Amino acid sequence: MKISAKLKIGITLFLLIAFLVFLNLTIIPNKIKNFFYLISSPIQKSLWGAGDKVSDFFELISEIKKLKKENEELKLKIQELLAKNAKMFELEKENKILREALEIGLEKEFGLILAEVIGKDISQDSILINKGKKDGLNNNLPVITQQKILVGRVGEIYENFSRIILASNKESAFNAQISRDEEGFADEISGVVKGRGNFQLFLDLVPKEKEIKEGDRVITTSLGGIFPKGLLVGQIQKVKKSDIEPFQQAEIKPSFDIKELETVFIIK
Amino acid sequence: MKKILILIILFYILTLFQASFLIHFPIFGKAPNLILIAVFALNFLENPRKNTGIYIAGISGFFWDIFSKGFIGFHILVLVAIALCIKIILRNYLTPLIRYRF
Repeated sequence: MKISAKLKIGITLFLLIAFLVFLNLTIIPNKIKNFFYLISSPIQKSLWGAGDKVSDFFELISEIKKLKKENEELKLKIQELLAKNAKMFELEKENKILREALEIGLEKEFGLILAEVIGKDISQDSILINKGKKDGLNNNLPVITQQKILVGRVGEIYENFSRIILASNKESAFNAQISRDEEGFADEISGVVKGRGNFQLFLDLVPKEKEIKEGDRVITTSLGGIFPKGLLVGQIQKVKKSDIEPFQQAEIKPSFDIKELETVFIIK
Repeated sequence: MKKILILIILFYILTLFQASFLIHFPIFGKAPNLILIAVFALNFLENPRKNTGIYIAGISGFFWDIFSKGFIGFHILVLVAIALCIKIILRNYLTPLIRYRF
């Protein structure tokens, strides 16, 4: 009697595993997920909004001390940027005049699709957005923020929703180069940005003879074909050099803040 | 049957709460996992002779799979395995020591 009960459990488990393997080989899981996202999205939206507000409130309490210092630093930064902006404005004007003179058309803007973040998966560095196949999305389309900061790429696509693989996901790797606010900086330093999980990024395969500094900006290159050129990835946080390794590595502080991420743009 | 239906609805809401609310409060980079705690608690507190906890483990695993990246089935198997282990331990080693009310 005991053996038959164990056998029953064994057969049930085997059938369950076989059924799940078979199910995942078809497109049914995507349909099931899409259905559940569709019926859950109103509740998810309100829960997401509530969670956002509560976490903001707690964060504000814990960070209130830092805010004053940060505020002063930001004021200084604003002054600095305003000065830079004025200079840029002059350059833009000059650029426009030159373009007109040379009859060059403006660079074609990206075709952008606005999407709302309705869920995120911290353990797997991915987010869920409310746009899918129905809105013309495809796999591997780049996802950016309003400030043109790289967020990631479309990973899984459903009828009305998509899952975005963040740049910090362990599966993510792409080419990038260093950009620096320095007069006369024209050195082309490129490497590969790899995700480390947990919203951490690092720059790898940078030749040792090239000098990278903390605070350098990391931007995408068009190499690899997924991301367009010039999207901000983050800033260099810590450079790691070793005598044995032929390349140097650097930790990158991502420019997008996952907590603040509410809307994203998908580049078509 | 009524109890199972109520538990399914409860675990569905719990999964939504987990995926959309608790995700904002990570502790050391991980959000607290209420589904796992609830499945563990249900199987631990339920009468070891009953199987409701195992069914609910499978269903909550399914909900967990829906709201996370990857294939459907992984969390179902993990939670069912956890529930089975708890039941086996309780049935074989702890039942004579504890009296269950439900």
